[in-house]
Formats: sequence, structure tokens, C-alpha cells
Amino acid sequence: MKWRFSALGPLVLALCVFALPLHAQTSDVSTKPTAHVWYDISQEVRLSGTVSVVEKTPARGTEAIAGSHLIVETSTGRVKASLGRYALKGKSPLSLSSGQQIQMLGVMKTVRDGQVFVVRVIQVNGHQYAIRNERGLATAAIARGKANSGTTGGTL
Amino acid sequence: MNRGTLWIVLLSICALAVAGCGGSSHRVTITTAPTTLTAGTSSNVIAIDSHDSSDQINWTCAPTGACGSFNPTPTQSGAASSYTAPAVAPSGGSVMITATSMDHPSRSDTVSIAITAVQTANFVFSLNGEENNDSGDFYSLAGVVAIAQDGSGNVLSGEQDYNDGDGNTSPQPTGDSITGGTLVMANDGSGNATLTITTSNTDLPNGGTEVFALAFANTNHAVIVQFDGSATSSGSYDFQISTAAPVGAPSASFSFVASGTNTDGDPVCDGGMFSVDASGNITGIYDLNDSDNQPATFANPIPAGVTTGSVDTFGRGVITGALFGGAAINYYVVGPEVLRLIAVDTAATALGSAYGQGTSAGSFSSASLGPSVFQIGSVASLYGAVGEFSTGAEAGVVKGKARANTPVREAGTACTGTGPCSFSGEGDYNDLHSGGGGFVGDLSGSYMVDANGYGSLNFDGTFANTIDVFGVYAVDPTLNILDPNNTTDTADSGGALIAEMDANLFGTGSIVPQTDVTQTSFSGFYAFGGQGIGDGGEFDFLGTGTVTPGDSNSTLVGEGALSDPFGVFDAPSEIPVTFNATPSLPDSDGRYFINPLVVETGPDTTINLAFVAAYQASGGQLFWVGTEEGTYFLGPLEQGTAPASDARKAQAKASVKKH
Repeated sequence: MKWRFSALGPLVLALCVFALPLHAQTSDVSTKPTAHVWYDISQEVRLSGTVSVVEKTPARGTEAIAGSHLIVETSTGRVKASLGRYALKGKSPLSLSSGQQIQMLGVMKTVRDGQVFVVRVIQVNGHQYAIRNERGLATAAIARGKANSGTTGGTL
Repeated sequence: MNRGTLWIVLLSICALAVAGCGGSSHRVTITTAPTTLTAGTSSNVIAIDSHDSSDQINWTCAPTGACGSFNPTPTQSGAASSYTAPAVAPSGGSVMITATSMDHPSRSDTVSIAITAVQTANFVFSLNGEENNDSGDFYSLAGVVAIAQDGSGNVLSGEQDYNDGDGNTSPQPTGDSITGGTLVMANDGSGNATLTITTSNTDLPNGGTEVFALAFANTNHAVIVQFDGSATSSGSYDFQISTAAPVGAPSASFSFVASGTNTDGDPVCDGGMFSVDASGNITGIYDLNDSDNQPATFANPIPAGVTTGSVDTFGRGVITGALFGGAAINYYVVGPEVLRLIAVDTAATALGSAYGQGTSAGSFSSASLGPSVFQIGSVASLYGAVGEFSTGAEAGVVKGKARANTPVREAGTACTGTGPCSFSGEGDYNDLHSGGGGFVGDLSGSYMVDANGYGSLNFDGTFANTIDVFGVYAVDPTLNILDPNNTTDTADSGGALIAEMDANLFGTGSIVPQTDVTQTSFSGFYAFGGQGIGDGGEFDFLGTGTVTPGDSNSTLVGEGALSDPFGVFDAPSEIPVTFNATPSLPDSDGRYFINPLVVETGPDTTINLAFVAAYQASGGQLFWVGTEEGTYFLGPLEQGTAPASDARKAQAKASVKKH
């Protein structure tokens, strides 16, 4: 679009007037806009099922979200579950294998045209582990041997 | 002669004969030895037993531990031993070498050899990345190496700080000593090199021996990757033009960013600006984005009492007090306007840089940012983003501008700098935390920069659904962020440092002026690198190559190294590689599309890095990001000159030191 002041000037001036309150707000650099919510904790659901496949290190190009994944057979069908980067590595990795019964608390997301259940809390062998924080960020604490075993960070 | 006199003469002759015969039978004499020798070099030494050619001669020297070495020792009388002078001239400037008879240890000879200093040049290195351990700890590494300028490439000395915040932390406040090593240039003139460093810290991986791959853009600057399997990381290697403490003019004001991991190993980043008075007192503000303490906090004051601390002869300083986020910070002076920062807390790690604001300190404004290219990311936060934008008065910029192959840059009223302005452009990103990213997307929003260089860039949500806010910290408009010693590439000078202030992203990066988006400028010799994450962990690569523009596309042909200790590509963990790519013609915003970047790891063995976007700031600098699903990388392409002569010899002779 070519800039033509004679034609668009009054319109732009009007827009500028309306924009003034916005200027006043953003000129305070300590005021930042609300972040987008990628992991909406209000949308969390619980899933129970049987581990079918454990992908500790998925093949290159098969998963958009970094880290290990599970294929879980649930009552409503097969679900791909993302455990994040740290759940199966480090000083106290979760012990998961095919056939295990597990419970998960998380949010179903569409990621690059695929459905992935983003797990925040997982219950394995009677123990609960918070593997993501409430914003859905996979935490390295479990890999550091600071596993959130118990009810920390959420309950199932 | 009377009888008495005759007896005296005969007795004297006899006494002399006895004395002479007794001494000559066991005398050891050093017959060959230099009078002067350059530190670190070798010369033959020979000693003989005048009357016993079968005698063995033992060689020793003083001062012990700092006088060099002999090979072999002992030697047979008359045989040569190779004496190697110490790498650094000892106190007093000379050594004493002694040849001692093995059969008659009381017989020996000693000579003094003056040891002349080797000219050295110091280079500062700083990298961060991932350790190859079960926890996948991220770590930071910064230091300085003194490289001999005699053509040997010997590393004569240096210091470093290493920290993973999980048990591997250099002792403080001393750090690690660098006691030796070599810089070996590839013999093909490509500008690639291998740097091996021996440190005093045997608790570090590989017993404290570190190996790096380098790709020199010029003799003063290289991209660097740790390349020894114990860890993999990327960073910068720069000639040190000064070791002076960063106090007073002309660089009393700095902008800075840093990123790393907190005590849980989760990502964190910071950014801000500070001023240093003539006494070294630091005042300023910083933004802090800690994944375990959300939301991000802005314009936090640097606590009172923080100072630059003392700076040693290597330009290593220890900041007193908590500069930002409570962390203990050391720094390495690259020059009066550039510091490499490293957090050395035992339970957290971070690496960053501070850049001077120069004479623009106090007079920045939103107009300080014009058309720009940005790059931001962090392997600890699993993402990278690159893009470009133009700026204008807030009401004048058209948001959601058209993209690829649209030959019109949207024009708005120029940003006056007196308040917030708008930006719009396009970018590419890849976020393995959320799985987001992919091909080019529009971006827009508002931003502002205060007079002190502190500001923010606020996205309106059209770009990436996880990227909202960058903290912005303007730098000296004459300073080249990527290659701080480069005073010839003025097109890429200035801009700002940036730090992500979003809930789930914790990266740092830079904004560089975009001055030339023509294909013909993206031509010639380049050093390049990439730091990324794939399934399993981090990988890094670097290289040098030649870009040739063509009618339908350009070509990039190069060679370098791939560090893949986690087996992302099922390739050998550290391997020399070649690169081939055919960048598309650029769009009107200087974006090239490369699909794929081919990395050849062996005969008929290739890795294809798919969906790569490169944004051109000028012919001098571009930034690229890989956006394929599940694997990303982020890095620079820096135009330069293949080192025609020895890259180990830095250009800035005024700062060459003697060891």
C-alpha cells in the first residue's frame, strides 16, 4: 500500500487519536501483556489405561514435542501421551513398561495436526509424579533426583 | 738452577700432573647447549666425560617444575638429548641445566640458558549446551586461552570457569587454570580448527581435557563447539583486545543478557542494563524470567553493593554481590565494551554477555530500532526463532503484512522515538516444548526503548502462540554483537540484546539492523554454526563454506564438524562433515528457504536438516533456524575471509603479550 497523506491522512489521524490510550499503556515498560496460555490447566482431564508402547527416545521426526512418549490404551481408544524431556532420564527416572496400568492428568492438544495428551501428573505403581509444572513445562527436577513423588503439583 | 730450586720445579710439575690426571679422568663438560632459547622450543644439549666415553650423563634443571624437560635422559657421553624449554619463561628469565655423571655423581657441569618469552595472543571463549550424562544437565563454560604466536599453536596458559549447577563447578574464586593444549588449523585453508585445552580441574568430564571445533570467520573471531563427547555446546571465540576492568568511560553503561538453568535444572533467563562508576560500583535494572517463579519480573533493581570486583591478568573478574537473580557472576573481558558473563553458583548455571552502550548511553529511543533481523532461543528451553521486522509509528504500520515473494515493504510513518512504536514482519520458529512452529509466519506488535536503552517488544499474537514479550536492551550502535572485534562490518553494528519474558520460553538473542536483503550480497566465504535439539538431546555443528548466488537459487558448499553425542542423527558423536545447500531466492524481507541443509557424515551417508529458514541482516550476517518437526537448530552465518595465513596470529598486534 502506497502512503498517500492527502487521502488517508485524516483517517490515520483519527486512528492515532484512538490509539493514544494504548500508547499510554505500553509506554510503561514494566507493564507487559498477558501471556498466551499454551497449557490451560482448566482443561485438564484424567485418563487411565494400559501402557502399550514406551518411546523413551522417539525416532527422529516422529514427535513434535521433545522427549519421551507413551502409547496408552484407554477405554476410549489409543492415546499418544507426551511425558516431556526428563521423565525417563536422569537420577530417578520413572519406571514404565508395556502392560502397566497408569493414570494421567493432562490436557489433550493438537500439535502439528496430531493429537497428543500432554501429561502433567502421572501415577505409576501407586506413586504420583508431577512431571510438568502448571504451565505445562516439563521440569528437570525429576532428572536431578528431586522427583515430585506424591501429590506435589497436582493430584489424580 | 741450584738443587733446591730444581726439586721445587719437579715437585710442582708432579703435583700439577697428578691434579690434572685425577680431574681429567672424571670431568664432565657440557659441550653443546644454547645460550638462549625461546620458551616452549627445543634444542640439543651434549655433555662428555672426557676420559670415559661409556659414562652415562643424567640431565636435570632448575628451577624445578618450571625449567623444561630432556628427552632422553640419561644419555651416553657425547650423545645428544633434546632439551625443551618451559612453555613460559621462568621467574628471572633463565634456567640452569646440569649434566651429572652417573658413575661419579660428584662430577657435573652446569650452564645457564636464557629463556626468551613467546609472543601470545589471548582469546576469550564462551559456550553453553548440554552435558552427556544421564540427567542431561545444561552447562556453561567461559575462559581465556593464551595462544603462542610462533606458529606452533601451543596453548601456553589461561583460565576458565565451568559450571553445570549440578556438581561440576570450577572451584571459586580461582576457577580452573589452563596449563596447556594446542590450536591446530585444518591444513586445507578452510579456516576450521581444533582447540585442545588441558585444565587443572581433573574433576571435570574427560579429566579436565576439553576439545573444541572452531570455524574462523576471520583471524579474530570464530564460532566454537565443544567437540569431545563429554558435552556439546556452541558459542563464540574472540580475540581479547583488553584485560582492563570495565570501569569508567567509554563503556560505563552496558546492556546484558544471560540464560541457563535454575536449581531444579529448569530454564531461566535474564536481561537488563547497568552502569559502572569509576570505582567499579554497579547500578542498574534487570528483567528475570525463571520457569519456577512465574510470572517474569521486570525492571528489578540491581542490589546495592554490587561491584566489578578485581580483574586478573587474564581479564577474569569476579563480581562482588548478586548482579542479577541472586547468582554469583564471573566475567571475562573481551574488550572495553564486551564482557562474557558466567554464573558460578554450585546449584544453578547461566551464560551471557554484556555489551557497552557507548556514547549513545542515555540517548536511546524507540527510533534506535529500525528494520531489523532478530534471533532468539535456548537449548535449555528447546526452541529457536528467527525473523525480521520493519518499524514505524504505531498507527502507521500495517500488521499482518504479506509475505513470501511480495516485493513491497510496507511503509508506515517513521517511528519518532518519543513513545511506543510498532513493528511488523515475518519469522520462523520451532518450539519443541509445545511442538509449535513450522513455516514462515507473520509477526507484529508494539515496542519501545527508553533513553537508557531498556525496553520491550510486545507481540500481538500473530506470530507464535507462545512468543509474547522480549525484553530489549540496546547496545552501542557502533558495536558488532556477533563479532565484537569487527570494525569493518559496520552494516551489522548496533541493535539490541533480547531476552524472552514468556511463561514457557527462556531464551536470549539479539536484534541486528537489516540493511541489505539482496541475494548478491549473500555471497563469498562464510563461517556458520548451529545449536539444536533433537530426540535424545543436543547437537551442534559448525563450518566454513562458500556461497554462490545463482539465477534460480544460491549454493552453499562447506566443511566443518558435527557434535552429536546423544545420537540424534545416529552419526558418530564427533565427526568432520561437509555441507551442501541450495538457498532459495530471498523474499522481499531477506528470507531464504533451504530444504534441506545436507550434512554429509561419510561416503553416501547424509543427514538432511529440513525446512531451514535464513534471514539476512546484510551480506555480512544472517541467522538461520531449522523448523522440521521434532528437531530444531539456531545459529549464525558470518561473512568473512578464509584465513590466508595462520589464524592463530591475531591481527591486533598491539595487544599481543609475552609469556
